Amino acid sequence: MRALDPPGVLWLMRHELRLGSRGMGVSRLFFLAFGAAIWILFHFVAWAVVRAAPPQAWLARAPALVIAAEAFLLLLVVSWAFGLAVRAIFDRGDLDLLVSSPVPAAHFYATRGCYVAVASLSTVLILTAPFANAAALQGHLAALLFYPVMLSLGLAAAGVAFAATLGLARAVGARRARTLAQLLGAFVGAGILIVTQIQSLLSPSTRVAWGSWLRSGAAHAWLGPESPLAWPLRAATGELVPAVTTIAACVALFWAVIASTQRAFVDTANRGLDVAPRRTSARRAMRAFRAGLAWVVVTKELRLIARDPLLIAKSLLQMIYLVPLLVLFARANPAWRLIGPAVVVMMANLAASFAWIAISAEEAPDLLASAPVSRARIEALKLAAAMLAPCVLTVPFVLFYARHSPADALLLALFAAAAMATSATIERWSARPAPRESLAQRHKDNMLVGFGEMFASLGWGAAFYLALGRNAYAWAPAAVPVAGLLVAAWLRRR
Amino acid sequence: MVPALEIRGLIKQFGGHYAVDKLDLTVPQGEFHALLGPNGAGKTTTLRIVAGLAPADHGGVRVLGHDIAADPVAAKRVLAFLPDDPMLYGKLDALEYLEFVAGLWSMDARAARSRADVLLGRLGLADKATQRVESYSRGMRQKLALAGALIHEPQVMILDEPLTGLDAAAARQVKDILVERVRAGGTVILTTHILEIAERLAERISIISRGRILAQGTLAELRRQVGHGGTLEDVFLELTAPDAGA
Repeated sequence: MRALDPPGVLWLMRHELRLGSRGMGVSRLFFLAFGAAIWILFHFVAWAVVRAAPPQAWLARAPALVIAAEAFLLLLVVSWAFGLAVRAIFDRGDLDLLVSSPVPAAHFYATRGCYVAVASLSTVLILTAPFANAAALQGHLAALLFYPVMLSLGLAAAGVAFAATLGLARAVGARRARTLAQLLGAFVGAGILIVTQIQSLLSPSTRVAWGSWLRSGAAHAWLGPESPLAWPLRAATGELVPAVTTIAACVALFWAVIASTQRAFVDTANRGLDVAPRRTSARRAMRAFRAGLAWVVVTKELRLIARDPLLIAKSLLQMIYLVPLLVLFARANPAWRLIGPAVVVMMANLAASFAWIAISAEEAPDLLASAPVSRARIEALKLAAAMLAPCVLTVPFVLFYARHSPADALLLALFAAAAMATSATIERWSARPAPRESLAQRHKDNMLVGFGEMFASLGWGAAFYLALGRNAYAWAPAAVPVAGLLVAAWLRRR
Repeated sequence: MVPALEIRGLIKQFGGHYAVDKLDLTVPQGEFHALLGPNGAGKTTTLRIVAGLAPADHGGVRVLGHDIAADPVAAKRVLAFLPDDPMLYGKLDALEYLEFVAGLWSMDARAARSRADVLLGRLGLADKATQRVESYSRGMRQKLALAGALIHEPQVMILDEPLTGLDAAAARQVKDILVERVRAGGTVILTTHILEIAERLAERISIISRGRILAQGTLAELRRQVGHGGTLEDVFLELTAPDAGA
């Protein structure tokens, strides 16, 4: 049987790629064309960088930095591979059809693995491939080893993600495993940010100790050009022995995972996300009902948010970006005041996410539409529920500010409330029914809304920053979201 | 007495295609009425307009005399709609779901709680009342949705394929509950593909095809209309045959 003929591995791979490329709207195609143009321009920058310093020389010049960058990119690939592996295992899609067909499980499992490898590499390839291309165009043809090396690294990342996710499914059950694997991927991505800030987060004495360790022989063994950690980079820049070794090791890892976990993959896919019934609670079964539209709508929204651990974790993960500023705050560094504008922006994002969940991702729209209540009233209550959690999360920061200046604390409360209300209003006006799982991709079909939300929250954050300094032009950045809302309201009326 | 449902000259188009085409239908109070038709006949679209989920392009709908377009809140207060694939909240349990529905219809909390207990007991869900809906089977979801439709004791019930996914025992429970509603003075209007249900339960039957009512009446009247004494299936197939309306 030839691999290209049905149901060969390459034939299945073509099927995966076809499914992955479907559903692109005009705006997405435009975005891709725009991205391609930028990518071509990026080649000119890469050409200049490679001419000034060929990739082979980078490691010799600043080995620790280059190895850190390599680790950063590989961790990013692994974090994306986790998200994709979760979808490959748990999204039903065509799995029932494939599992019930006479195609060997190893074929479609390996095909899914290859797809995860390629998809998890895509962003890193966009950023790094121009350097390999530029080096090859400048005569260093071995730089083209970059492509098989990167593909093999993607396969290794896919293998790690599949093995870990299936292991979790076995240990804690499919549903929890899906949540944990998605969280793991998200934490790996967010953890990278903290690592990049480590220099500014360390105390002066720790920084000195870290510097002297970096100059020691032990550090040289790990972070020097001869370090085994540098092998993937040396492989990707065209060194033959590291390249062959890396490709062989990564492909062997991928093959070993596929061979040893194909049965677990089929079992987990067959079991799906069936939910085991929880134990019934006599006390809950006896509890009285509460009446009142406001109570039932707000309670229902808060229950649905509180019972979605992935949503909460992903939303609160944004708070991790405040950690560096909180450290500065603890050290009484004057830069701590930046935490306020950051809080304004993040609470606006959080309010937008929850507003989208409450309105666009409503699970029973027919029930609400057939109820004897106006849609406007229901939506207003849903927005109130969506803004409740970000409001509560803002309170500690308002109290932080109040310790230094009650006026600043009042300003923070006002600007955060305005930012949250703006984002929630944008979500309400642009609402389109969608499943809850689409939260992260909610702006793919309407990027204008995504940009509007981003500029509105940044506008309020900037306005608050200027207001903190009692700058007379603090109104200017706030005017952007206000004017945007007024124009949108006028357009809606027409 | 004002009819439970009165539809006059209803028109609904989707991209130039008439899903509902000048449809007229009157259902008196206290009647069990079945709306039958082949796939794509316009049954679900008609019911969604009646329930206020979709606007009509033309024509009027009155529920117990309340115009669904002019006074939707009054019309919906006396109405319950059960779609063919009811969407529930997976992360809520049955009691929380029913509490939410009762709140939407502004029910007294104590009365709602007691009615929820009765309905969950009748539908065999009492011991699952505090389990999240995401762990329910298709049939259990259908029964919970029906409990939600019944909790505020609507005077008019609009049900789109209410027996889908139910086993024989559950289907019997649901049929009994619907018959009781009618005996108590309520009105039930349902669509079904199971002609035996319409034949046994419905007092009057409307057959719809291409957005229009082709025939309406009791089973005996429908038989007379086609000119022979066959089963409802024979009558239905004869009336909805592709060349029947040509």
